Amino acid sequence: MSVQDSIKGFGVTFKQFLKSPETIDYPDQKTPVWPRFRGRHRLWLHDNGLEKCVGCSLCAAACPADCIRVVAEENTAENRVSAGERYAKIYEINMLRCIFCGYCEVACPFDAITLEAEYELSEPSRIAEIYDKDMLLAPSPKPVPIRTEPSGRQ
Amino acid sequence: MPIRNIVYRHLEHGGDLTALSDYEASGGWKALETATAHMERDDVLYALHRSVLRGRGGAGFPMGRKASFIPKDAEKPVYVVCNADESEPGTFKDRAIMEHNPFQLLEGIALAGYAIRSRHGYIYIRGEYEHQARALDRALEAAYSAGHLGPDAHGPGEPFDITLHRGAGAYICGEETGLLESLEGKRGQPRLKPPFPAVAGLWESPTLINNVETLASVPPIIEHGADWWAQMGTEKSTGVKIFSVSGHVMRPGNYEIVLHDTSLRELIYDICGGFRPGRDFKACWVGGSSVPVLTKEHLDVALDYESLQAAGTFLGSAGCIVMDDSECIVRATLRLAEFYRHESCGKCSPCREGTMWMVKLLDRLVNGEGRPEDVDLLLKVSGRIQGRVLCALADGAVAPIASAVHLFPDEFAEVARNGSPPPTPMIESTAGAAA
Amino acid sequence: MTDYAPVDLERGEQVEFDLNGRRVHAPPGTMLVDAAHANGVEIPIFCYEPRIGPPLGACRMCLVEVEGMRGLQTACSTPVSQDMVVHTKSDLAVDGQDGVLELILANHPLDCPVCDKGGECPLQDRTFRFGPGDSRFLEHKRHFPKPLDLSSLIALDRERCISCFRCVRFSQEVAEDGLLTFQERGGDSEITTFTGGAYEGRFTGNIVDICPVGALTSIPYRFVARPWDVTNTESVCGTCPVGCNVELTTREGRVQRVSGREDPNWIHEEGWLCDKCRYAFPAAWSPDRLTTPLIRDGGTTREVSIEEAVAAASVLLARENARPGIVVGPEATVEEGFLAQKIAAASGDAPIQQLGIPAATLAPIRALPPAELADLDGAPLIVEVGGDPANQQAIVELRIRKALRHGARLVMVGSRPHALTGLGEWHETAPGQIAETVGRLADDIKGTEGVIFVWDEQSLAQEPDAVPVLAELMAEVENAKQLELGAHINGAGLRALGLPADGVLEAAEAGDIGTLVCLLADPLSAPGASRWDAALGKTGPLVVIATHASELTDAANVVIPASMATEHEGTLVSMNGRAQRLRPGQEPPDGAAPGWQILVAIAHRLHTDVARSPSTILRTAVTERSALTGLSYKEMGRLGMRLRRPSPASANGAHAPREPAGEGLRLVTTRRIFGDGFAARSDALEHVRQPADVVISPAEASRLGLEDGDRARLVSEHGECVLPVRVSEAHQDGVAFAAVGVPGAGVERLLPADDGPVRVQLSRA
Repeated sequence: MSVQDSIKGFGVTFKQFLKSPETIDYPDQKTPVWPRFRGRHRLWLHDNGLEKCVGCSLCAAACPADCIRVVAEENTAENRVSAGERYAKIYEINMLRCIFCGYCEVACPFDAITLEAEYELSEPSRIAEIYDKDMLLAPSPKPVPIRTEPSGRQ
Repeated sequence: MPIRNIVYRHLEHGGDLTALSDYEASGGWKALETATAHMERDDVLYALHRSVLRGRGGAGFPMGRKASFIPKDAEKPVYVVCNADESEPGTFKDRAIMEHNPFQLLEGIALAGYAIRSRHGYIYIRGEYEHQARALDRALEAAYSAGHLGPDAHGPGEPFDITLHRGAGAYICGEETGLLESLEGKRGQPRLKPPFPAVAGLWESPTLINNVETLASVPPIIEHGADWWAQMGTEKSTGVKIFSVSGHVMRPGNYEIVLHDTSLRELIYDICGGFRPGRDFKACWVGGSSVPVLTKEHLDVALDYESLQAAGTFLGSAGCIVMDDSECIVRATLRLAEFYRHESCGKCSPCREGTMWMVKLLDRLVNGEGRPEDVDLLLKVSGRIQGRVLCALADGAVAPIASAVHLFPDEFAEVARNGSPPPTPMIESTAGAAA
Repeated sequence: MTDYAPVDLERGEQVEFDLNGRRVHAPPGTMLVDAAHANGVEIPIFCYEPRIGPPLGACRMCLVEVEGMRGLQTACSTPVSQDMVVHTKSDLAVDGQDGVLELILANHPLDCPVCDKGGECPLQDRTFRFGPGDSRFLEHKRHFPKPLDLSSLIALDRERCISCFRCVRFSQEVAEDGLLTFQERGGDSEITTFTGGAYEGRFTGNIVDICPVGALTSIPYRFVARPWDVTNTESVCGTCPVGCNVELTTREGRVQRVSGREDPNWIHEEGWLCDKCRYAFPAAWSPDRLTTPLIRDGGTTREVSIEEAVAAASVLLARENARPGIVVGPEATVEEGFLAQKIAAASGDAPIQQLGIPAATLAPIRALPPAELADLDGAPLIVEVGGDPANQQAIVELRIRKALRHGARLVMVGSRPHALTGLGEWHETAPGQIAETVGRLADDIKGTEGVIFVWDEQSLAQEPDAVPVLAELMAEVENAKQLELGAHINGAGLRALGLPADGVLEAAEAGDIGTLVCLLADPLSAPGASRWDAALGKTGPLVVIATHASELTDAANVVIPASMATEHEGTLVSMNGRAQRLRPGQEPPDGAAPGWQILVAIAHRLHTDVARSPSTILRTAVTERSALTGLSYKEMGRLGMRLRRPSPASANGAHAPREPAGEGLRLVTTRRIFGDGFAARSDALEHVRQPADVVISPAEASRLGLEDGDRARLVSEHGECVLPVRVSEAHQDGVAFAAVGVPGAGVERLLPADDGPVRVQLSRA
């Protein structure tokens, strides 16, 4: 090999010294995700406060991992929870079984469930990984930024 | 003079034959006497056959042929049923018979019963015809008192009775099996055919069911002979037919004319006096409303079964609804569609849902909420109804609607774009116009 | 459940025709829909339901193209003919099917996510398979107020209704209750009841099964589960002696629904169920369900484990001078009865009996050819003797009504008017006169061939003199068959094991019984309750294996909770001799165990070798009991197996007339369909429960000074009770009519232990 080739090679290496690092300082910075990232589920409300979910259980039917449990109940005049005849009295997702495929979101006729941008889902016990309806209705506890640019840094 | 008085016998006798003595004086009840005294039952049946009298209620099926389907050796009793549920829009010919010439109807039923070995006839009259039902009641009472009906009506010891039954307001009870269901006390919804009423009709027994006008045509046929009847009109359209003309003509009413001898133009312009000043013919539903519409091109068609069929429509019940150019065809079609939706019995899916859908489509068009593709959609929906239904009501709904779209495409397209023009008032000031 | 009629492609004459280009065959007269289905081609239907009657042609869903006939034909009403050419998938046929579905869906609400039928909905399924991909309907759909309660059990959603007429036709032409109808016309047609009130009756739940959409849904099952959440188990109803085939729907370990299942060739119940069978399952978790074993020892009651309770029971059986006696109740399975016999044998041949009706006098009739329910369909003459089938064996009522529609003649002999007595020739007899009346009718009956004799076990046991008369008459009719209206759920099964209906009571009264074991039996609620009550004062420790709490369990020394019919494997034999398998849909509650398991555990502690699973227990029983020859779980399969006919008994003079002692009115009893323990414990049946009462004629009422609604004391030679009075013109003089089986009413105290004839005196209470 000639000296010129070596200089070219080192030149490539030297150029890298001038570039800023790609490293993301996780956990101080959260790795951003694209808008369609499938993370933690979220159940939504209508503007008037009624739940969108009517307990139809199509998400449970679509789920390939059998991780959703829906028990429906009738809305009454005194207790109107959703906008339809029925609501989900119990709505549980077993996050350990979930494969984050998003079929539940596709199946839902009411856009009541979506997969959002949150991936910090570790828990110290198995039982804590059974998310119930209140947990799913609440805004994401550990949200993550959404990326719009190719570069990892925001 | 094209107007005849064979079925409307009362027109020759002062306009009213509700008194039994008047009817007898005019020659009434002779046909039944002659038949029961001097003719075999099969002879009467044959006379009906040779007269080629066709059903006057709308279907036009030859009465003699229908009567010949009744088994001669039936184990179950045989019934005659008179369909007096006149509800076809534009048709009001039967009420005149019941109001002014009821005995001819009773005599006709008794004659038909004699022909088919029946001992019991029923008249099913539409619920709205209260006045006419009373008239028939009185006529029945008089006929029974005089012995024309009852234990010896068909000869010594051979009874024939007639029972009058009132309906409760449903067009579908004019459909023959719908009528039979209602007569049996059930919900008036048509049955599957086969079996046909001639085999299993009223209470699963052989039944001959015919329209009022058809049955009222029987006494003259027996009185004057089947050949006399058959030489009027054409080979397939024999005898006289009553046309009920209504709409924008100057002289609406019932007109009894010989089939084929009069054209539609003559009926409208000559017999019925034409239109109001400044107005002219636009459309006509010639056989009641359940037939394809006719336009100006068809004015010269002869009024008989074959000619009208060749012109693309049907003679039907001969209820002529005539429309002049003051009215929008789409609005008129909507009015007809509403009738069918209201009268649909709901038993079969295409009619129940389809009539409602067509009304909603036409309603949007008329109110300016139509889209251009709605006209084509209307045709497609009607195409999925026609021929797929349990009885003829929905086919009768599709006929005027689909034909109106085909024959008035520009008007439908215009309405789809802009909605329909406001309706012209029915009565216009006619100061100075001819009476 | 399939909606098509069974078609026999193997036997009999067949016509050949072309179906979608394939040459196939079917018997002449078969409707095209059924012939196609039998040959593997689906023609969609909605209004067609062959169990209800002839085709209606209303929905137009089955439109197909038949060459030579103009347009499209309804396959449900077109019989097959030789060489006809049928296209179900031609362009025209497909357009027809697309069109009908598009039109049906025009006004159908977009309710699928909230509709209970979703996932098991024929409209959904057929739309997927035969419908257009989308709808061009943009208009407003028509609306009705919804949902409405059609009854306490059924919800009605009129918007979803597609006017298929199945429910109306079921009500008018199968159950013949004449309640359901359509009102209004056209698109405004709506289902309603003639009275405007609730749709109440004995068979109302069937309309939920046959409704092809979610217009009629079960209120107890409302929003409970989706088809993908559940498992279904094929089993048999265990609430009455008919033994209908059922399907148990289980979610998360609990039976949530009972529905009918397919009965091929419509041999047994045709897939219909009575409402008691359909809605009794919540009794499994009624508040009085036993969930904890108990031991009561000198004043203290301890909750124990089941092992401890079993051990205690075994000690009480095995110890010295135990002198045990075992009483087996009518709900015990064949396996449980057999194990009880083994335990009795191992306990020094202890006396053992079932709580039933002694079999000896009825043997001559039981030996005659038995009928399947299907035999009623074509019978020219049905002779019904005694009983109250509409209440006690409700499905028989449906089948007899069907036979009547087919032109059968119905002759009835008995004391009690019931739902069928108005439909045929009823010969009302005073109690004790069946023999004489049957004798009088014999010549008339003998003239017909193929007569089906439907006879009531209890009525004939009370009038043994009628048995030889009836048996002789049956023998003289060609091709006659008999259908027993049995009184007890597994009475036939326990009889096949050879369990007598007496023995223990007598021994107890004589002071010869120490430990008394009651296996699924409550003698204090059975005929002879008064004698049992007294006898319990003379017995020693009481071991009760039961499902629900009662006076008996409150007095027991050892209480072992057991499982119900929906919770265990076992064999039940129907009243007309069909042995059928129970399959569990849920586990029994934590502290309970299947009866057979408890008995196996006790048997082992008694050092008796028994098999350890229901199928092997049955296998052993089959080798030791000739009446069970040929029986096995495999043979029973999904549809059961007919047991061998019992051999005829020789006449032994046991047929003398029985005349009850004492004065007063004869007492005739029945068991009301919604007036028994199942209905009392099932919250679903809360609104249709029937109380106990005593019914007397107006003449008797005025003689006794009683009015409708008064409370009367009834006293017989055996015991007494107090009941409200109902006065009825339809009931004869000289007889008091009361219902047994109502928990707490105490009518059983009036009766002798063998449910025989008895007189009662009435007075105002």
